[in-house]
Amino acid sequence: MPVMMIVKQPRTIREKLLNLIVYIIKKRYLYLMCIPGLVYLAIFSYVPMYGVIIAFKDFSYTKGIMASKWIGFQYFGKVFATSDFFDTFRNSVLLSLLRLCINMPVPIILALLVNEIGSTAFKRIGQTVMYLPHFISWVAIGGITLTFLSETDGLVNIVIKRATGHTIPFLSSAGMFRGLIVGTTIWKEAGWGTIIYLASLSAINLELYEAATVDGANRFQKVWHISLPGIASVISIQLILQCGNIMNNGFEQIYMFQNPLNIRSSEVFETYIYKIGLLNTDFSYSTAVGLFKSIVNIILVIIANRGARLLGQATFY
Amino acid sequence: MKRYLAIIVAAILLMTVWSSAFAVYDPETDGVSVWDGEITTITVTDRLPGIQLENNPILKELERRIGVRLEISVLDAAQYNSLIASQIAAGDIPDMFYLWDNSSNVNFQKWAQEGLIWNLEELEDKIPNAFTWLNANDLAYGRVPSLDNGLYGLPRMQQLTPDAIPYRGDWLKKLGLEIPVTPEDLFEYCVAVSTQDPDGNGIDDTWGLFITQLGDKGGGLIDKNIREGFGIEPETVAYKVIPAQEGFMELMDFYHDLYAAGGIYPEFYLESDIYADQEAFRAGKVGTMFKTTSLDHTMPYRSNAAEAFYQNNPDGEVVAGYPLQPNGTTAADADSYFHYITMSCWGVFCISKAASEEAVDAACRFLNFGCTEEGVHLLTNGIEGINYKSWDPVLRTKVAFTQAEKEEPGHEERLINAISYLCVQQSWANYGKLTFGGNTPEEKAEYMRRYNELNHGYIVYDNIDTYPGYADLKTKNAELTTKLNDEMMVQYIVGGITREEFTDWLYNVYCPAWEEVEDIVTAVRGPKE
Repeated sequence: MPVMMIVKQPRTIREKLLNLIVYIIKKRYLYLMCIPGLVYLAIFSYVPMYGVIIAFKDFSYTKGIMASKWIGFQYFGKVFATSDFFDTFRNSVLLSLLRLCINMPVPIILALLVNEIGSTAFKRIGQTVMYLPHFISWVAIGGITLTFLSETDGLVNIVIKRATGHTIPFLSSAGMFRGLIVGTTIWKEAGWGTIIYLASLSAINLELYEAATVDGANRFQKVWHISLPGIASVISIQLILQCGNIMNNGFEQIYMFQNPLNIRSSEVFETYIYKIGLLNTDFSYSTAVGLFKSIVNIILVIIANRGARLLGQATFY
Repeated sequence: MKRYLAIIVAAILLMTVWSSAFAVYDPETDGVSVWDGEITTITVTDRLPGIQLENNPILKELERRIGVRLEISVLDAAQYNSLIASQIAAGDIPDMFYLWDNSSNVNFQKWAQEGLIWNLEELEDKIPNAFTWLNANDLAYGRVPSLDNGLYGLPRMQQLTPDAIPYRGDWLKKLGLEIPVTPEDLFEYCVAVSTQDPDGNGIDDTWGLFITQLGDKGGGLIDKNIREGFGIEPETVAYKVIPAQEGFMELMDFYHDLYAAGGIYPEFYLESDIYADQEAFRAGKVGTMFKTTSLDHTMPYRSNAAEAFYQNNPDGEVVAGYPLQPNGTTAADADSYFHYITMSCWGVFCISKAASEEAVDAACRFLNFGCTEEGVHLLTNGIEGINYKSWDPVLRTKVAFTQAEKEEPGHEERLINAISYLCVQQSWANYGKLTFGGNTPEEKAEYMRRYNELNHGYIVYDNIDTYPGYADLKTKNAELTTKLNDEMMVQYIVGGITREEFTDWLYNVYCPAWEEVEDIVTAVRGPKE
């Protein structure tokens, strides 16, 4: 019996290119909408990236970035030889891990709670109130926090002193610094962070909840078995993004709360780079530190992405 | 009718154009030289906090007199040095720029070595006044010792003013104390201010001392007004850095004990504003401030500062104290003690090698003019009738407009102040005072009384910043200096670390790193006697 074999012809590069062009033309409006974003990304993220080469150069003011002399990995050697570097590394990682473990779940819990609110008017007002702190700058929040937590005349310490007879050094204790950062981050960003989860929750089919109600599920069971699995892919993506930021703690917030008494806990890469790069104007060295930080972040993103894929969750690629 | 009218208007216009086009400067009427060549615009970057540049009459007058139009970029005053370094690193090099630091600035050395700025000695024929106005000690602030000791920046010298520590005279009376003379007196005063409610408001809200900017020399905790009370000498006299001297730990113990006794504002370490101590003093919350304060800071006429003080403390009084003497001495012993005072250089002006020939000429004209009596007067005092009422060149007294006169309608220009850091020099040649204080004869008499009382026993010494090799050592030890200032001293004062921990780090890590200072000073001054 003759067997008919269908042999798939290998597609040439030319054919692939043509197919791609046809596809792009077909979806042209979507691609047009991408252009501003791509241009923005290219101008502000990719073009300035050439500047990282000064980490491998002895930067000269007169010669500029391109013409300065190549010195290889000399500054990276200096990075690892500095005792402050390892303290900074430890502080950065510890603070980020705390943020990952504490600050990340808070918006999820808050979004699940808001989602359970029945009254639409109350829900909308509540959401608006939650978003507001996001729009206050860290400088203002720093001032507010100092006013409230000061040991001399801060409201919180006045109350504590009247109750216990002593004050708590929230602002000047190295041991309390991380708690201060985590707490103020929650206050400022937890509400804003719910947006993405609320959007995701609103996409869950309501029939699932109705079916669960018919089956006798209580509120907690509905949250556990429907809401949480419904936003699991978003949580996964957020986790990967957070992993990519594990060495980033932001500059303004840390700098606002940093003082000589908590510096052993508060020196992170951002403040360290600011001091050596801008204040001491050691541009090459600070770029080397920054580049090291970025490379670690990229590695962490890759690991987190691979981990999420192994667990069957949504991934970037 | 219309035709006649048009002819008359045209004639008036023609006459106006004619007269302006052929106007000739008449020195008899103007009294000053006027530039008759082309106007050159140069780009300048400077540190000019709170100065109105638009329609500034001083800049217009400058243009009229020397033909230089300054296109000025102003950078944030608090971070000036790092911002100008970033600007230059980005390739945006102004024709001329001010560097808010003296010759020990690392970038200044680097820019000179890389050929980014002119050696001003090569331009001497264009700025001859600078070399007669400033003496060799002054010029040392603009030199780069590692580069043939070339003059790469024109130092901006300030007038010498007696150092003085301001105290609250009204509080001293209430507390039954005399003006502090020794560390013990200061300790007693600070604790009394903190614990005895001298403002009488019934609230525990006054403190003896408010510490702000820290520093291993010059400012903050180790200010020259206080350190001699502990036997600490300048590096060029002691041949050691200050933390390596015996009196340093005595000074640190003084702060440590004073903090424990409640004499210092307890959360001083949270304050990043370097002028917070002055603000707290003006607000009537602290009893003294001694960070780089001079007699001028104790005078009631000091415009905005004094206004702020007297608004908050209508019955307050500021009195001037002499820099501290060692314990066991009294005010009567003042003549037996002396106080080290250095020439005060506040930054240097640099000219870019990338500037065009015309721009270099114009920048030189500006610097040269700034080193003349005419230039110093215009740039620091301004224009008579606009920036001040009158000037007495013999008594060197400037009568200012009162605030009410400044706010008179139609005289908005009176609100424009002189251009501060753009003044090339802030002293007459040989450091003569630019102005003797006071806006009225009474104020001037009071200033002179205090000046004569305090202006004795001063020894002018060399600043180690101008010694070859010190800038390199400073760069090498930058992180140690930061650690001492930003961490260790504060930690010890507030009790965050023990004395043993502090001295262990100080004598085993910090001081050994600065041992070269002895060689650096010896190379210039010879072996210590």
